[in-house]
Amino acid sequence: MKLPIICPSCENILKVSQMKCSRCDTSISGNFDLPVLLRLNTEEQEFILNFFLSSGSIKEMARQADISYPTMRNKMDDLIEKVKKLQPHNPC
Amino acid sequence: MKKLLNPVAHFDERKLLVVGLASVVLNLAIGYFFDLRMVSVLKFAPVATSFDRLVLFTLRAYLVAIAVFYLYGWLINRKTRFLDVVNAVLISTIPGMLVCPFQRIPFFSKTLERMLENPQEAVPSDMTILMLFAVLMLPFVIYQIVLLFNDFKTATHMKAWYHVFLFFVLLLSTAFFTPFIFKL
Repeated sequence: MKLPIICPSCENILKVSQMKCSRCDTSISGNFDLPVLLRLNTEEQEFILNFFLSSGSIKEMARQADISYPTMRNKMDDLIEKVKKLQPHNPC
Repeated sequence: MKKLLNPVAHFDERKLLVVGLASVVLNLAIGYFFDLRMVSVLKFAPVATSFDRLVLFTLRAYLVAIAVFYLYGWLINRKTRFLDVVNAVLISTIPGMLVCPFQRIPFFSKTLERMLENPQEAVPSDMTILMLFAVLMLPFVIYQIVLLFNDFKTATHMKAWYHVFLFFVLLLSTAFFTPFIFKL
């Protein structure tokens, strides 16, 4: 089942408010942020998974998608920018 | 169609390099047989010259464009690869070189010569021929610029409007100033 990450009403990013143990039914309630990677859309998550499965080779990913290396690298750069924006700021 | 407007985004860089290098050879052959000289990436001039000088002029036009656009691409994005810029420049000149022998068709060349020698004595038919020539050439020049722009954009991941603006300033400057760099 697809995990919804965007509010269907106001399009804001959803948060986790409850987690439940499937064995003993213990529930934990709170206000948890989704991990950065889960806040990406399905296509972007698949892109990162493909990158991992290609041993981190953009060239290999480009070959599989039948596009050129610079096009694939540009997609990667856009995704890096997006992930950087989604990451919580480092309090240094 | 998309592939023909942006080859660097769709084709393997080694295949593009082979096509690009073959286009340089074709460019020299066209220049030699039709007495044309590549002045810059956007301009071919109808001048008879020796083969050695033709090679020098052609290489200068390519090298200046590659150096200018690679430096600019590197400033925009440090990940810009030299090979992608080389391919962008080499591939973009193909439409121009294929259409430039039209300048040698007597119907056009005589009119052009007449108009350059005595612009005041131009007759309406000369103007019509000149317009026809411009209409024939324009799509190829536009295609050449579109190719260079799209390929450079892919190679550098250029997005900001001021980068695009500066690209066109550099393109026009390269076309204009190339003959004055490394006087041959």
